[in-house]
Amino acid sequence: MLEIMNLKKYFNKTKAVDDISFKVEKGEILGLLGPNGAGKSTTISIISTLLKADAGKILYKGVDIEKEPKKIQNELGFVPQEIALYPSLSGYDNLKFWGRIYGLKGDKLKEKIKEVSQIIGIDKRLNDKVEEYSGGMKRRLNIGSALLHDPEIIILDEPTVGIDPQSRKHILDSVKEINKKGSTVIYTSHYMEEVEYLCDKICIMDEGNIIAKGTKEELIESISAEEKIILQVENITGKMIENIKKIPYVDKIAYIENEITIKKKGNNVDYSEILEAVSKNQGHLTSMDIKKPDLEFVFLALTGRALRD
Amino acid sequence: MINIFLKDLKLFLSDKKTLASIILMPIILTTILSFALSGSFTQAGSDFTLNIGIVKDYDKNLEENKFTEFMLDFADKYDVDINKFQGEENQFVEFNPEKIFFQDYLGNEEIKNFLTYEIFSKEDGLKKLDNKEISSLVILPENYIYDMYINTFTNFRNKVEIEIMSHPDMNYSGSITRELMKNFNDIMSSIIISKNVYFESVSPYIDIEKIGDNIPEILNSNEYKNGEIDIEERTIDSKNYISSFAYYTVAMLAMFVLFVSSYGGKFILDEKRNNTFQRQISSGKSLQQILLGKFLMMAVMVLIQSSVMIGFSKFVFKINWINLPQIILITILSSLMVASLGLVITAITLKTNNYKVSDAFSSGVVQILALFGGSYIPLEIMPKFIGDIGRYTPNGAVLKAYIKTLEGYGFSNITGNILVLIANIIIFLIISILIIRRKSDVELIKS
Repeated sequence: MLEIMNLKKYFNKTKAVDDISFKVEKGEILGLLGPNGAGKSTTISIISTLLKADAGKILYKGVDIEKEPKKIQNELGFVPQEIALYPSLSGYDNLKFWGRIYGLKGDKLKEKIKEVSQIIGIDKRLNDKVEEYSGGMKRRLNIGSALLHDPEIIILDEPTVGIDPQSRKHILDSVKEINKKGSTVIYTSHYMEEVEYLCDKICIMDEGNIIAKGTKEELIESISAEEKIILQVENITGKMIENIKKIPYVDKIAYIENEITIKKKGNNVDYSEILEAVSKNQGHLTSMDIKKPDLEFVFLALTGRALRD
Repeated sequence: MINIFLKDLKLFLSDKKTLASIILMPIILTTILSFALSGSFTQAGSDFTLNIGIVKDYDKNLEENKFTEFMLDFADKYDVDINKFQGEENQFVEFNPEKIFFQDYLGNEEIKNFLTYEIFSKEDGLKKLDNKEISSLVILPENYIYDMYINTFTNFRNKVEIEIMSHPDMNYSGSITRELMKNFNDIMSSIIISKNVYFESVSPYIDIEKIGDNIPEILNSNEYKNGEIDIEERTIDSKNYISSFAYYTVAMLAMFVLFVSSYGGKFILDEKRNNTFQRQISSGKSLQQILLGKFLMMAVMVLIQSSVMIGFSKFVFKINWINLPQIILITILSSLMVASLGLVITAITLKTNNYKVSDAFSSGVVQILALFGGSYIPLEIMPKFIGDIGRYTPNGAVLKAYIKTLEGYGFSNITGNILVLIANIIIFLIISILIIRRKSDVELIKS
């Protein structure tokens, strides 16, 4: 359905997207996973025809979208990372405007507004001004505005940033629901668990490149996955990290705030060596967890950094 | 595009603060200025009369004697027959500066039709002026009579300074009085010049005591008696007077419509900042469609603004908006002019990606245009260069076209203003197209 070929985009001399290629099949949910600045938003901005690529090609249903942007624009629902709504208008007026933008009118538009507002759970607050909505409601309306015209392909750019867990769950369930109704979805996030929960296929991006792609299982398989050890430590020091790195079974190590993530190699593991390295460096260990490999772990394995570094 | 326009209009109309500033403010300002400056304008339909006060700051007899003494001295010095300046042979008896000013000039039929005067002491005159019982006070200075004799009968020239004091609220009346005095001064100057030319031409050939013989003839040939004073009075060709209410309704309208032009830039930057602009682009709407929506929004807002002002002034100030087709034409052109100017500001705002352009326009440029366009003070009483510039400003052209229409002039008399408006529209559109064409995709979506 959508084929991205050797896509490149530079902002002055900075490589935002560096020769990436991937395919999205009809009906699937593709996740673009990566930290901030990985190039996810630039990639989807090019797919959404907001930006022009410096090199490469994007085919939508076999048509080059640079030559015929209307082909994808008419069938695309784009949910930008920021809330793209008119705060001084009501939820209803916002939906009406975006519906009309996509060519809906009359009874059909009214029906769709009713249907979508129920899906996103704002039907009881439809006549209130958007500026009076909670963050979660705004996010849901932001998504709803892209669904009115039953788009064949929906792009959601980090749609759950900065919202409460309940709204987040509602959004994730809505995306699954939309996909079930037949829409193809491209979902970007730096939340590993969201991508794991939603996506059939995943592209992991870092510094403008796709460093791995496949299903979740394929990605984990690809790094000969091992368990990872997660330590919660108060007072992490550089010397402590150095000491842990010197332990023979420690392959890679990353830390953020009070959390140290260790990728081990081999099965010959003596955990007391880690505990000793922590206590010797005046660290106070509050918990130690041994986890099965996940996408976070894949990212760590591939880049040597935690996903949210 | 219609959808974008309707949304922008809804956004505009939902912002009560903005509405108050562009619709309520001009109404309030018009009301305040109209009442405050009503003395500077004549009331529509009224007969125009000008009441002035005159102060004689001189002593007639004393100054006449002083001149006689001067001439006797002169006769003595040059051995001229002394009888020329005394008794029945005195040829200066016929010359009477007071009669020339009061009877021949101010008593002239045309002037009498609109001007009445009273003689006051300086103190009383100032009081009357302060109470607006008279519009101006003309002070004939000390030595006025003596200097007039000297200037008329000798080849000396003494400066005569007639002082004119006007009430600041009655500026128009003050201007007319100044013009009248200037006119009198011009007439007297031409007499003096004729006399001087005569003196210089004949003195080498005629006896000094006979030089004065022809002076009465020169005096009699002059204009102050014969009504050649050219005074333009609009009632003569059936035109209407403009009241302060009519003037300031139009002046505030011409100024406040300009504020609308800054909203296109503000709206598009709001949309970029809240990403609705990018969302519209991704849905297949072109930049041109979005800008056209803003253009229409600004044009319609000006139409709404103008209709409210015109309606308000009609029902509250009882202003007679005659020649409706012409008023509609000016209003439509004014709305297109504002929308085109707004498009330039929108294009620059897109280019610079900040609110400074639209802010600077509404807080600075509009005020300058208002001043030059005559929205604060009528161009007729401003220095000539301001008036010349003002006629070519967009708001100046709108103001002039409305005022001329209200005065009763037809289309042929406002053609110049209409052409200025059309030229402004074309220039603004070309500038905005040139700016927009040079934008890259990254510049476009950068929020």
